Amino acid sequence: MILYTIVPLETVLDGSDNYVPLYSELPLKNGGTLLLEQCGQNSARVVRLISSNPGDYLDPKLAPGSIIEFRAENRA
Amino acid sequence: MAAARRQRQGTARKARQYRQHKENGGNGRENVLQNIQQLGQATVPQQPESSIHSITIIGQIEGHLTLPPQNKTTKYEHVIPQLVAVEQNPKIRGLLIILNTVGGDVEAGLAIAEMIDTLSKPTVSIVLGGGHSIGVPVAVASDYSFITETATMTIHPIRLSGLVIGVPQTYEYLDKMQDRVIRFVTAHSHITTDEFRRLMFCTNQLARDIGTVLVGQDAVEIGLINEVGGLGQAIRKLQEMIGEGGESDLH
Repeated sequence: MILYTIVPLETVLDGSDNYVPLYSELPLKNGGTLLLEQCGQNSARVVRLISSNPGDYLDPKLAPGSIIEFRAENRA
Repeated sequence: MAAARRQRQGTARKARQYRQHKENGGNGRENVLQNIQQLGQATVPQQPESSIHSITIIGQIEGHLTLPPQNKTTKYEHVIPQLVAVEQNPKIRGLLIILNTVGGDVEAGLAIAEMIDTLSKPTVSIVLGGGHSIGVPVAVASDYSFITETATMTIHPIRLSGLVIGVPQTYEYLDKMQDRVIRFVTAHSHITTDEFRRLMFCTNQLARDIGTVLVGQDAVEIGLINEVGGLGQAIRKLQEMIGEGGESDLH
């Protein structure tokens, strides 16, 4: 893998030994998958969208970096 | 008994109302707080659907390896399906590519560049801030490219890290990889191969590297970028190109 950049490599890869992200997957209604990283009690950040519908990639709610909140639903 | 039933229904109704309230965007205050944390402003300007889409290429173009979180990255696995969506969606008539990148993975960068190049709709790119290293092929891949006066583009040889075996084949491999980039750039701009190589191997410009830094107008004079300009000019050029395609009513 060739990293072609003006930033010195030690700056770019700094911390790569301790960075171990924990991902979880969320299946979407229309068949795709959302890769999430938990970042709080009730919220997770989108890391990656996997979907065969290209239109999904234009949806800002599913873009990498957006926060998804979930709450426990009380079924009476 | 009836009172107990009424109480249960009341609770269920309240739960339903709360769910509905949350689905409708919840408390307005929460959204504002979220926006301030993530974007630094309280409300994000809303815009009616536009026929021109824009994709920003920022930071490092991330390839097959996830970079540590201090890096701002462009995730090519998201950009490429977006380009597919732009190609397929009949409502989108043109694409604006905004670059401020320090380079990144060669293959991911070339992948994005080739996708932009083979898009059938008009594309215009603007280089703001920086369009270094692998940002150069991405910038020239569009139908027309702009660079702002203060933006810079660094032309330098690709570098190999990790275990390097000291045999001539290593240099040949590097040369082959380098050739991919040089061939793409010279095929999509007005610069010649010799001129581009001369810039790449210049030894008296950069302090810790070999190469050349082109600022704004330099990039245009050398034939790499079409024109010096910014956002306004780019949008106007894109609308012009869309208009020439024979369509009316664009915005």
